[in-house]
Amino acid sequence: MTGTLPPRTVDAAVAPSTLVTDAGHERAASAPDQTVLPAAVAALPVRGAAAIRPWSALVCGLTEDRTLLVVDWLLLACREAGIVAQAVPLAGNSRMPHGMYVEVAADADIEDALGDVPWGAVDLVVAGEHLELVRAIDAGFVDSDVTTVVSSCRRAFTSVERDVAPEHVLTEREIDAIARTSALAYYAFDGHEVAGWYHLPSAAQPGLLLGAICGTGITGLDEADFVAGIRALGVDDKLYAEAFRRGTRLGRREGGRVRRVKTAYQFTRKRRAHIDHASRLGFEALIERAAEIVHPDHLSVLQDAIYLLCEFQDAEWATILVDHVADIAAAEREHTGVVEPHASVVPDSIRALAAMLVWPDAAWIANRKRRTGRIKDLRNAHGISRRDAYELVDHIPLDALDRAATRSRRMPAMGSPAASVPPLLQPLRVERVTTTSISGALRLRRMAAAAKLRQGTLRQRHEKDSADTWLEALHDSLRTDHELARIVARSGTLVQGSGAVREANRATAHAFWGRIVRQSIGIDRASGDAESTVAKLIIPFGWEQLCRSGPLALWEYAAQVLGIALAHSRGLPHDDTIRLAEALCVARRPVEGS
Amino acid sequence: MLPTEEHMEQTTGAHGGARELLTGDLGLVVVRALLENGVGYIVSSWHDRPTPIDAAIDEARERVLSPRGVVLRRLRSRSALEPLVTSPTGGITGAPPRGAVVFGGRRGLRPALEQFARVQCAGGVVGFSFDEDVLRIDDALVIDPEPTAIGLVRAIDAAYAASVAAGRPALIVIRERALGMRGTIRRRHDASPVATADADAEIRTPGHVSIAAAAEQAGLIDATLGSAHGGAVCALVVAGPIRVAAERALAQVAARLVDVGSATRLDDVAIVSSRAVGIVPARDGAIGRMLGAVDDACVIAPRADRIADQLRSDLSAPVSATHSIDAGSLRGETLVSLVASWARTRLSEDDPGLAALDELAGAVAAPRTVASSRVPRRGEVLHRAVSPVVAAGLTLAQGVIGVPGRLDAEYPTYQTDTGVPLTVVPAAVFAAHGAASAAPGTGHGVFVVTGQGGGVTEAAGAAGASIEYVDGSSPRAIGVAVGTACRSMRVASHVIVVGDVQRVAAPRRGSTFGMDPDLVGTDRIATAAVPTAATALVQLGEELVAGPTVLALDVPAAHASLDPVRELSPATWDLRRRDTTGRAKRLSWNLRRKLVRAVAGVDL
Repeated sequence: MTGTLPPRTVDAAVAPSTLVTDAGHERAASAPDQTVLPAAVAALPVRGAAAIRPWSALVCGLTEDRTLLVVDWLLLACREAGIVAQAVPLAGNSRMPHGMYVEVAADADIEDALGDVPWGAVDLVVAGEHLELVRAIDAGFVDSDVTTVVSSCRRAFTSVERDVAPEHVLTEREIDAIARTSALAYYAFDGHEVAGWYHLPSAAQPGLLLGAICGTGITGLDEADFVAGIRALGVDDKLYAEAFRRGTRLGRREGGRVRRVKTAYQFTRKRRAHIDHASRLGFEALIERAAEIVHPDHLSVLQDAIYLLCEFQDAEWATILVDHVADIAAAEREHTGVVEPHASVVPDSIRALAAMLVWPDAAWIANRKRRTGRIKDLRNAHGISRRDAYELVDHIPLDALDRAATRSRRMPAMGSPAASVPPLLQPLRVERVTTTSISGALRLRRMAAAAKLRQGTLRQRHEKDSADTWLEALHDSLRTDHELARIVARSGTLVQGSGAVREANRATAHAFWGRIVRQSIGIDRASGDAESTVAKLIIPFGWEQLCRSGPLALWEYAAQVLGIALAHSRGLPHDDTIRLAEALCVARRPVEGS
Repeated sequence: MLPTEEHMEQTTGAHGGARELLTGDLGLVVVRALLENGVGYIVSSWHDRPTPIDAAIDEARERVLSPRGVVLRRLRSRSALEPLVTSPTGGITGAPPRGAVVFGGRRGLRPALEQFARVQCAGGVVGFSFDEDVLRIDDALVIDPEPTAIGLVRAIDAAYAASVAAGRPALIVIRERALGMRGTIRRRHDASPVATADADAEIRTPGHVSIAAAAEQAGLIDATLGSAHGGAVCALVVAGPIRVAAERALAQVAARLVDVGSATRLDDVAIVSSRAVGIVPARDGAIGRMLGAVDDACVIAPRADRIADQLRSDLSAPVSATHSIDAGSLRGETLVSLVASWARTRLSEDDPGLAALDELAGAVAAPRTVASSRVPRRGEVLHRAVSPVVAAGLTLAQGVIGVPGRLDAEYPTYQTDTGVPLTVVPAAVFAAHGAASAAPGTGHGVFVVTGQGGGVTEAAGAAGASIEYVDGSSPRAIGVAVGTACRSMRVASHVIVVGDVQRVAAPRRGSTFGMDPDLVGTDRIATAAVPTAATALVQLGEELVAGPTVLALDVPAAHASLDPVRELSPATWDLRRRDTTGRAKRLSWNLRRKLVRAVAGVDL
């Protein structure tokens, strides 16, 4: 174990009175004339030159994941090895990770120099939660020259994430990419998932992390020291000793979580039975085609999307998605060149298309409610065996259009007076379907059968229109700037929910694509601004406001962007337009209220 | 948790280096340091909630403290404390023993602690306080230790030495960070309370010394010189808790100067630190004389610390720079920056170290972000001025009125796609201004009045507006009201009063409520009506869903808002077990199960 800062210690052996400069001329040191000091002062101790920072670590995680057990184990393991160490909690701060700062005195003569002030990049960062790792990197604890990161990819959500749109929060792969570039070495795994492999409870994650730390060899401590540390602490020591043993292998292989991508055959083998007979061949062909279109890292998401769309409607419907994905991947290659998998727009685009091309109408809701897997999960979660009687009641809100669609084999929605009324204002009835009764199950079956009537309906055209609008915005932004395109790709999943909720979310998404994205890109394009100054100002700002403050944020900004675009089209100089955009991009409270 | 002192006693046969090392938390470290200082009696906190130190004392009571003759007291009133401290017996005859007093509570202890700190105690007495207000007590031996195990042990050693010398209790402040600290210390031999008391009696002088002299004598104020032969030319005066960090910062700055080939060395800088709050070195002491003789001094101390002023007034020290810091959230880079900016003043204009120091001084301000805007910050206040239910209701209305745009930054009025102006305003504002709360010149529109406040009806009546009351717990009801009101141009204004409704959960008869995560997705509108505490964030773990799903939990707070949730989401279900005791019921259930599978294809 070695200290890392400062890069070179002051050499006390060099005589202070003289110094050889680069030019080789010897000259007097710049210190002023020495003050004549009293004899008593001369008795004051002279400090050593090697005030070097000891080996240090940061252990962070949330309270629930018990990651801070690692601190106790680390300290006790050091003790077993005869090494003194200290751990101090980090001060509370919204940007700081929640955790402890550890300093280890590798040499006995610096034990007294162990401090409590976190100091630059540390030698080891242990994170029990993935976003905490980003907070640690953001706070400057990680450096690509010195820091080894051992982390669990598991996310534990804090209350603030209830209010922030999930599309805005960094994804696991993005965090992996940040950690890889920021750290000297990055070891990551999903603690709960790995615990499951070895039939351990998810609470075993801290033990796995400690094992991984040992496996990396970064501490220089023996396995026996760590095990003795676990035993000395005495908290669930059998469980954690076993987890530690399993975890040591995780620390011997650098890199993020390993995901196994299924081959086309593996993916379709069990799933094809759930697809309508007429679509099976098409489904298999699409799964095979998927591998040719996207990067292997994105294959699993595309496979899932194809399966979802085939289940929702048919292989022809899934082909639309695959074609769009192929276009997007080609456009990205054309406009941006080779892109790192984590930075690509493709996975977000697949999610967005899946969200837009699968809408929860009555047929799809019934399909989801009837799934064997769902009922099995419910039974398991409540400890109900197949022999135990139970009653499952599903509450399904159906507006007039949905009710009409499931009433008969005709498609009454076409030209029906109800079609012109927005879903929010249509009479709503929450149907109470007893899924475990014969009549209820038949009702669900009838509702699910309405899926066959989707083809060519007004609703289908409506949903396709949304996808087309998003695609136009995405291709526009791909031509402009890749970072902007990533934002637009993420925004596709805004269109969610059923009935009135979906309509409201659709309005939000259309306002973002139409009034913010395309208008600001249009301003730059009309001005011939190759740097896309206005778009780079407005789109990220608008997106962040939308994600952090909710859809009402667009009430504040969308119309203003339109106003700027209008002024620009009437001859406002581009520089003034940029100034207006800068003035607009200042966060303010969206809707006044209580 | 970490091993207790009692546990450590039992495992003293540990192998190798571990035998002399002890790893523990605050309580264990304090108890160990007290034993090593020969404490004779300990007065525990009189609060019902024990502090970590009290808990450690309780753990060690039978096997560790009693065999060593340490007397434990637990006072029920503070008035009984003074007689105990002034004439302790502690089960020891002869010289008064050393004592320790633990003050529980984190607020409002200052009067009691002031009184305690001025008592003339017979033996060495150390008090532990968790109330940081004690740092403001004047003319007392108050020690602010580093929140590390080594720092605490050092502070306790020095506190006893100072208390014995001054004949007054010393107070050690346990800050919040120290509560969670863990650390390893080297064990020393326990001191006998009797022998320690006798040793104290031998060195004690009848008149005692001043607290400043006692602090300096006990090593609470210390100084180290650089390696320059001539002694100190400059001084870096720091608060005790950051002493170690300041040394490192100075070493880093000095190393940087060497790296860039600067002629300036910082080996003539003395570092002076004081762990005794508000106490500066005596003028006639070695440190005081050194400080009086230096050319320049820089002070880095917490905001409340008055050490810079005292150095100027008491020692006439030439303090050229004073920096206030928050010791709790201090980072090493900040200290380096402060030291570098101070050292910069000593360099000549042509010194190559100038640029290096500028770089170090500015390192803290340099952005170090990694897409930090995409990392939700804990405790941040979101830009959301209306309640989540009202926000969800207004969002739902977008399905009818489009996404409105604000007309005027001064007024909360928005132009809808249907052409009807919509004003969202608190009840108090509407009651005061009526229709004038909308942007001027917008004509007849719709007002959404939120929150509670009298006079809304009168204000609406005065404006000639129709009025409508809406269930404030239902986003759909709010959305329908807004959508209906704004659907076509109005000939008169319309006021929608969103009432604060407290729904009460209807009794549920043995059924369990739940939600299907795949039907909820990552949408948050449908569950907006459920109180945050009654929701859970669930990761689906699917490739197609990026982000967590918000589900309502099966708790009464969520039950009260089930109807609004069911109006918006098809994900909810109720599950109830049915009785299957008896052959007939079992047969009936089996028959039903088979029929449902055969007729409807649902496998129950």
